[in-house]
Order: sequence, then C-alpha cells, then structure tokens
Amino acid sequence: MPNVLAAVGRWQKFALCLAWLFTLTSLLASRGFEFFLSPIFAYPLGLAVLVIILFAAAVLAGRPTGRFGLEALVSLLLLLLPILHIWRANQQSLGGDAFAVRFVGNFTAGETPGGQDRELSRLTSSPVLPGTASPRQTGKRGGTAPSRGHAYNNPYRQDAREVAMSLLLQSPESYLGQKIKVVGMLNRENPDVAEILGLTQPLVFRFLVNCCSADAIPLAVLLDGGIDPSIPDNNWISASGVFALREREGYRLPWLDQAEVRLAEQPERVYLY
Amino acid sequence: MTRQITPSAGLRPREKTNWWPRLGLVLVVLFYLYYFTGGESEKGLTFSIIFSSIVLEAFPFLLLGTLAGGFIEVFVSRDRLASLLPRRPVPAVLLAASLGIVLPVCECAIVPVVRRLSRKGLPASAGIAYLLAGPIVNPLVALSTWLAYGMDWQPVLIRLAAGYVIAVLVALAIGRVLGEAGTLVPEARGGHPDEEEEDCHHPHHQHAAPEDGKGSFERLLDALTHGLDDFLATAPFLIIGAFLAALAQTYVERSLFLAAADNPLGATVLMMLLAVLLNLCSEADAFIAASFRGYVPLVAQLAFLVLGPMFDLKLLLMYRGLFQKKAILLLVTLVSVLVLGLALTLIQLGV
Repeated sequence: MPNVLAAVGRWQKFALCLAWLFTLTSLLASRGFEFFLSPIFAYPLGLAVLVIILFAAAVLAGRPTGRFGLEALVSLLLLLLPILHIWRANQQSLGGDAFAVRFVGNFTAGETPGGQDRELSRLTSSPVLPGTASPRQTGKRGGTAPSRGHAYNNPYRQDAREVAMSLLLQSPESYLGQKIKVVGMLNRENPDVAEILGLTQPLVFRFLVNCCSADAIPLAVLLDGGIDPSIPDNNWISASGVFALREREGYRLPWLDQAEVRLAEQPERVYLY
Repeated sequence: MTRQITPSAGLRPREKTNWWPRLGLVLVVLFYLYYFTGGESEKGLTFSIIFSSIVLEAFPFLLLGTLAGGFIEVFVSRDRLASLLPRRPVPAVLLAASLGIVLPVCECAIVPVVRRLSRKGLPASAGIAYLLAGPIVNPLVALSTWLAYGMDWQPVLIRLAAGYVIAVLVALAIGRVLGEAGTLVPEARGGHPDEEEEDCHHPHHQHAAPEDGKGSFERLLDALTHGLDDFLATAPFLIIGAFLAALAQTYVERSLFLAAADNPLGATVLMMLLAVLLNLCSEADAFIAASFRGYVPLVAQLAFLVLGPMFDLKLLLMYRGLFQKKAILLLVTLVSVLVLGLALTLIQLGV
C-alpha cells in the first residue's frame, strides 16, 4: 500500500505539471494570456513553462518524494482550481461590472473643489510599456495638426481619427475640438457611476492594464448624443464625436459631442497597456 | 530497490498535520462550490478573470523562486553563506534589506528563497529584512512608481526610504524579541547540520558538499525535486490568497474608500486595508495608488505602497510556512504601527 500511495503521489505531481504545462503553452500560443496579463508577461510565462518542464522531468527521473494523502489531495485540487477559472475566463475581458466596482471618478485633468490636482495625466500610460506610444512618439504632440481648411473650422465635418483612450486622457488638451473615435465598451446608466459623477450620462470605457487585469484602471469618456437603444450595455462600440472637456462641479470631464455610436468588433487587445 | 524518501522540508505550515489538510479541504469545497454556482453571472466571470490574472502573474515568479530555492538547498553550503554575511546582526540586517537592489524579485519569489536561505543559516532577522524590503527597495519598483507618479521623485524616494527603514526596524525588533527559535518554524530553521539531517530526509546530505559522491546530474535532480516540493507546498497558499483577493476585487467597491478622503488618517487606514485586500504585485501597485490621486491624500497612497508588499492576504498565508504565528502577529503589528507612524509624520510635515 505505501508503494501504491508513493506511486500515486509521483504521478499526481507529474499530471499537475502536465496540466499547467498545457494551460500555459495554450495561453502563450493563442496569446490568450493577454486577456489576463500585459503582453510583456510572455517572457515570465515562457520561463514558467521551462521551469515546469524541468520539474516534470525531475518527477520522472528522480526518486518519489512523499505519498498521496489528504494533504496532497487538497494541494492538487487547489492547484487545479486556477486552471478551471482560466479556461472559463479565456478570451473574456473585464466589463461593466468591474468598471462600476473600480471606477472612482478619475477622468482627466481638472481641479477638485478642494483645489487638489485631479490630473490623471501620465499615470495612465507608460511610454516604455508595449502598446502605448506617447503623442511625442507618434509625432502628434499637441494633437494632430488640424488641416487648415473648412474642416478645421467645422470639426463635425472632419473624419474621425481613432485615438487610444489612454493617449486621449493622458493629454486631453491635445485633442480638444477634434473629431476623434474611441473604441471601448458601452455603459449607459450605472447607478454607482451616476452617484460618483452626479449625473446620468452614457459613456464608453476601457481598462488600462499595467501588469494584470487585477490592476486594471478604468478609463472613460462621456458620450453626448443619441445612442441606438438596440445596442446593449457592455458591448464593444466605436464612438466618434468632437472631443471636449466640460466643467461640472469643479471637475473637468471628457466628452464626445454629437457622438455617433456603432457596434464594433472586440479589439485584438482588449486592454490598453 | 527504490529508496523511499519523505517530502522535502517544504514550505509547510507548522502544525499542518493537525489543521491544514482539514481546513484546506473545507476551503477546497467552498472554492469549488463558488466555481460551480457563481460562474455564469457577470460577477462570476469578473472573479474568474481577476483570480486567474493574479495566479498567472505570480506563478512564474513563484516557480523561479522555488527553483532558486532548490538550487540554494543543494549547491550553496552553510559555510559559503556564512562567509558572505556580516557576523553581527545589525550589519547583516542592513545589508539584507538592500539586497533587492541587486536581486530585484517580487514578494512571491522572495518567500521560498528566504525559506531556503534560512535553512542554510541566514539569521531570521536578516531574512525578515530581505523579505520586507526586497519587494520595495529595488530598481523595478522604483521605476514603476516613478512612472505612475508622473516622473515625480518624491513618492519614489519616500516609498523606498520608508520601505528600507521599516524593514530594518521590524527585522531587528523581531530578532531581538523572539530570537531565531521563536521566529522561524522548525522546518525553516538552519541550526546545527545534525539537526538539519534529522529534519530533512533527502538522501543528499550535505547537499552542498561536492565530496558526497553524487554526480552533477543527481545533484541537479535533487535541486529540481526540492524546488518542485517547495512549489507544491507554497502554491496552495498563494492560490487561497489570490482567491480571497479576487473576491475582494470583485465585490468591494473602491469608491467606498473615498468616503474617508477628507480625513488623512482615516484614509490612510483604509488604504492600508485596501493594500492587504488587493494583493497587488509591488511592481504594479503604484499605478493603482496613483489612480487615487486627488481622492485620497498622498500620505494614504504612500501607506498603501509601503504596506502592501510587506504583507497582504496571500503573503500572510505564505508566511505560515516560514514564521511562527507569534512572529507573524508581531510582524503585522509592527509594520502596521510603523506605517501609521510614518503617515502621521508625513502629515505633520505637510506632505
């Protein structure tokens, strides 16, 4: 019997290694890990795969260590639990529920009634993280140099230029008065958001991730305009309109005036990094 | 004949034979119940994403930490380690608290490394200093904090200095009050080589002695086996902590923490609580803290940044494999009091 338990102990370790190996390699191959982590985590995950392979090889080549018992069963079940959750959440992103829980009212530059700086600028993106580029890097510092024609005088007739929400909220003044398009998820009337903002206004939101979705920060732009009621909340949309900052109770809130909202495909990378 | 050996001296909590498997089984049942009953709701999906994220983020570092621990166990001799450290406790603690500068690893990876170093004779106080300061006083954390705070050096310098000083004070205090035997669990204690022989039954003592007749391949296998055993003993606690943190992140609204924004001390306490609940990696937590700018005072954000890497839900569970209960209690108390003291000082200074 002890030998049987020892053999089971060895093979449960090996099976566990294989289960995690399969999960991690699948996430890496499909880039599914980007639904959980920043793309730069491909390297640590790759190293993790390597370590697990070494551990699995040691189980096969080494001597058995320990017998299978209640403690080993508990460890096994606990170590399998994340795999179940990973497969359930695979290809899914945080949505309106996470937005409501995480949103603390931080939009963009502005002064609080108490005079404290509410500036979101620079904290929302890092020029060294993949997937983001500062306006300077993209040659758009100070916003796109608007074309000097009638479209400049009438921004509503400009073609909308897609702007990452992180860039938009990093330097909102750069985009004032320009027709832009942002991609995110629709949120119409969330009571928690309404309570914080003191107004009920539809908005488009997206999450900015630094390491993993546990640290995701919600970014949002308010939408002013008719929204097709057939578009349900929590769907990916593209919203285009003229960008403005409006004062409200001492806060400067980012808006898209005369917003046109359309259903959009889920972006290849659901989070901003 | 295959030689049967017992599990390595893994990162198992003391008295686990009494309570851990049964409590663990209860938790497993509850966790699986939550998985099968709450999965289809949006909350359930949010939970799955956050839980998976925390585990996926931490696993590579835990794996690397336990691998490093396995190699330390087999390839680093007690004499070698002793020759690298100052003999007197204060210089040893001062040095250990700054090790993060050259070994910038996150808190998940440090725990198994310290566990193995302790078995090799690293003084408990020096281990605590590295454990507490390492995830803060390191260049990656300095960089992320600097970026998060709009390239402002003030929060960076306060965070690093406070992290270092608090780690040193806590380490010295615990070392003095509890001593080696009162701090570490027996499995993590170095002691006399004979003592270790009794405790660890791997057939490779002295691990780091090349003259033990073992070839490189066998020693490599031993190191990997130790690493895997440590991983299997530590990871369940990480998962339990990640589960609780994901629950908090799914159900506790952050706007609740704004209620105390007008009271710097109240906000500080709430942000400290938030740091314990969120279980964020020290390389990412600055971005979360910075998202509270304008809503809670800078002092409260700094308390969040100093306390979180020193103890949070998952770390508290992982510490059970390293420290005795009273040592953990003292650590939590001292860190909390010192962080609060820091906050009060900064408030007085008008930060």
